[in-house]
Amino acid sequence: MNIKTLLTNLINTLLDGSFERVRIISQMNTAFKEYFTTGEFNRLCKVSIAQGNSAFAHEMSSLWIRSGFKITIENDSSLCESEINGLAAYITDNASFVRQLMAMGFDTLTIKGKTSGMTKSFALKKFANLNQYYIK
Amino acid sequence: MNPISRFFARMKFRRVIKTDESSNVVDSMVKARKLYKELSIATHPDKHPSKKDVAEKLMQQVTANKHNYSVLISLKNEIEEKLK
Repeated sequence: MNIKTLLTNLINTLLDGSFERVRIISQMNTAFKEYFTTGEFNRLCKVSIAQGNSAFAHEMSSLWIRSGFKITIENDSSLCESEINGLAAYITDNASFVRQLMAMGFDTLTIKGKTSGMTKSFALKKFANLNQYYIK
Repeated sequence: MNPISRFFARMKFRRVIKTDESSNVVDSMVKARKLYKELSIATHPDKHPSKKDVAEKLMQQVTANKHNYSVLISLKNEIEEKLK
């Protein structure tokens, strides 16, 4: 292990996995923006870190103020609950991504319309298929 | 392991760990719905009376993975091979 990797790992550990979080969030934001500008997706989504719901906490959760994975829909005209549920299903049905989020300290998935304020929260631990490994 | 092969192994490992599910999730949100419709039509058992069992199994797989774009893409290739 060289000195650069050692320092990166050390800072990453001290910041509670922030590098990985930031990398994934920026990757997703870039992809959403590209799909919106090319016209392939009609909703512009923005991913960010938000406060989580303490009722959804698990053993790997980070501090509640940074344990929420929030997707904000910027152009939310005529946004309905079924559309939010539909978007959430793409994340909750992907068990490996849910586990990846949980490993990074997230416990709550929040999808929100920016102007309408319509919000739905989901507990990630329900979708990780960790039945045999009990998570409180 | 000599230094050159170690270097290439390291590079390969870095490439592997950089590919995560986040891009697949965004791709799924954008493209999976259209592909799912296309594949569910292509695998409908009524369209393949001679290979009904294969078509039914493939349709079940397609329905189970309707929110996962990368799996649907691999299923598309499988469908093209098995249901020609």
